[in-house]
Amino acid sequence: MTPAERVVRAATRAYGETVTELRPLDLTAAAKPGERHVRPRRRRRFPGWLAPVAAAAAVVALAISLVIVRNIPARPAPASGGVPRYYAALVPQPPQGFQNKLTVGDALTGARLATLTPARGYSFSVVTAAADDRTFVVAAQPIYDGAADKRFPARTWYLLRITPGTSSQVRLTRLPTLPDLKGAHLLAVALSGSGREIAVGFIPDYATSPQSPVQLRVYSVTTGNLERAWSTSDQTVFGGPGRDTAGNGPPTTALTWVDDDRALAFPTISAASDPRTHQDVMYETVRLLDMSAGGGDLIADSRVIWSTQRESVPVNDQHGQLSCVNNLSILPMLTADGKTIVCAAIKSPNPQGTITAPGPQTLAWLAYSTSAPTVARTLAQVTVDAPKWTSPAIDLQWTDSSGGTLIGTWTIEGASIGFIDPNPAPTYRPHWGVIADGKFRPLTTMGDLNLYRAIAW
Amino acid sequence: MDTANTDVPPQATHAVTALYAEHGLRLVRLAVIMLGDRAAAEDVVQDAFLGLYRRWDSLADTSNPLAYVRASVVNGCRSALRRRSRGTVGLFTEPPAESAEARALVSEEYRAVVAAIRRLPARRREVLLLRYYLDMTEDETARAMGVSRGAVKSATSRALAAIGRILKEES
Repeated sequence: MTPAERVVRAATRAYGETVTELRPLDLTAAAKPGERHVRPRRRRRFPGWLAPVAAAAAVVALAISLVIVRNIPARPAPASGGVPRYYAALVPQPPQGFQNKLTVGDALTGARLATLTPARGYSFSVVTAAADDRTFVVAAQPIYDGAADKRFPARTWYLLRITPGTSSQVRLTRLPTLPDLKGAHLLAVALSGSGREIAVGFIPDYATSPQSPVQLRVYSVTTGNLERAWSTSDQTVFGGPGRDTAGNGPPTTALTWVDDDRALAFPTISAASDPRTHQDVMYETVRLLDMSAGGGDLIADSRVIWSTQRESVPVNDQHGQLSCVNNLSILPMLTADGKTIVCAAIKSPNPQGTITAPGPQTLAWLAYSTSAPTVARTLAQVTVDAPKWTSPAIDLQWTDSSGGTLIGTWTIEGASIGFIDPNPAPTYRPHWGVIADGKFRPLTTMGDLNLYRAIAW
Repeated sequence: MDTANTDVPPQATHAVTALYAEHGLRLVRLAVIMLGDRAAAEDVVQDAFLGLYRRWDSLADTSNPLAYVRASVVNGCRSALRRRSRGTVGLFTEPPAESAEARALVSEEYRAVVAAIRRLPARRREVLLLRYYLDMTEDETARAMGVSRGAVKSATSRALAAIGRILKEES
């Protein structure tokens, strides 16, 4: 090999090595194998005299497009029944569920648009949606020794765009500028309504310094620039680090953008002993952080807009009145208009102090007005008679900007056998529904999405 | 890669997914060197694998799908460069800029070599990359490009001479 050949080889290899990761391959964008690929009819070239006209048209098109790009609706774009049409879900893969794939679906037709596999050795760990019903941001983390590698909760970020009616309806593009959050404990991630910013709540260096201050940072999605940052030593924010997400990623309701992306809302959950009764009291709040205000202290610069509390019940935590604080696994969420808190709650018929026995339990989606924070309004409820050794669960996935329409699920959870069953018995499949006008209406188009770790709409 | 379409023969899905896992990164790197644009390179490689998947049943030799997809990537890069030179890449396509990774990790000398390679005519550029980046033999390069072995030898020799000239002019 001559010196020139050696230089060409070394230079191209050095340059090629700068690409270290591979975008997941989406085969659903292809027609079926063997299916004839029809080449679009070639258009006739336009005559030369049309060039100036075409140039002018291009300028107009560019202007129109820029207007469109700058005006992504900040409010959800309802597809049907006031709910968004497209969703992206992290779906664990059997048998052990170490790896999450990304399923992109159409809730209006029930179609699966794509199922994306992460790069080899990775698992999708985060999914969050903008308000335009087309834009999502997802993150992937490595799998280490057969489990999600907690040292990298979100190592690689991607922009997911849905473009219905095109040959490639789902497009995943790497966002190389967003931080890899090495060593952090990820608590909350939320894409802004416009899709331009992403807010991330985390505890840095969690393995070595678990008491480090919680950080909330807002990055530009396109440039990765850090736009705002807050911190606090109060670890009750975003539900706190004690919520072991176990590969589920941070809850999609731990942080929400409100008021046309001018503010962020987040919950806190804490406990303290009541000196009078010596009972532990659970406190739950929702705080509002005004983005336009200065400061960098997450607690000092935000204010409580809703709070509730209850004494913990030693044996049966779910007994009592229907209340958000009955069900601490589902974080309360402030609606985009900043006026309503929505949550999901469970009420057991068992008297205080008894062990939960089989019997009907009430599952409900509740709303509180921020102007009357102690009065719960039941948006819809279902009564579930769970078999012995099982228990009902309820979830809240999405709310519209006023809390008038929600998407939620209820499920009967059986004993876990440690493996992922992609086709659970009908009893244990989630019941998807749209909550509106006092009713839980089944969302049958969710079909066989029986397993998911997180879902964004 | 999984697919929601259960009609897809599993052997095609498995074969294409495995091939992508094994060779996808190297082919993206090849396309990045050719195009200087990461997003465009990824698109070209994705399209090549989708094309392979789509045509799986009609492939004459499914035992060597890498040759097919490699040729598709080379052709896809050529088409992308042709579109770019005609200015038809779309209103929102940004001009290719050297990536931050390349600026930070690759020496100035090597970046100058890659820049010189990109200035070569398509055939000479492809010959250099297939021969020296992918380490393909003259015969394999000839098959991938659909030309004779003699054409490969001649294009290689001229490409190396041109690289030398370009670098000398710029030094």
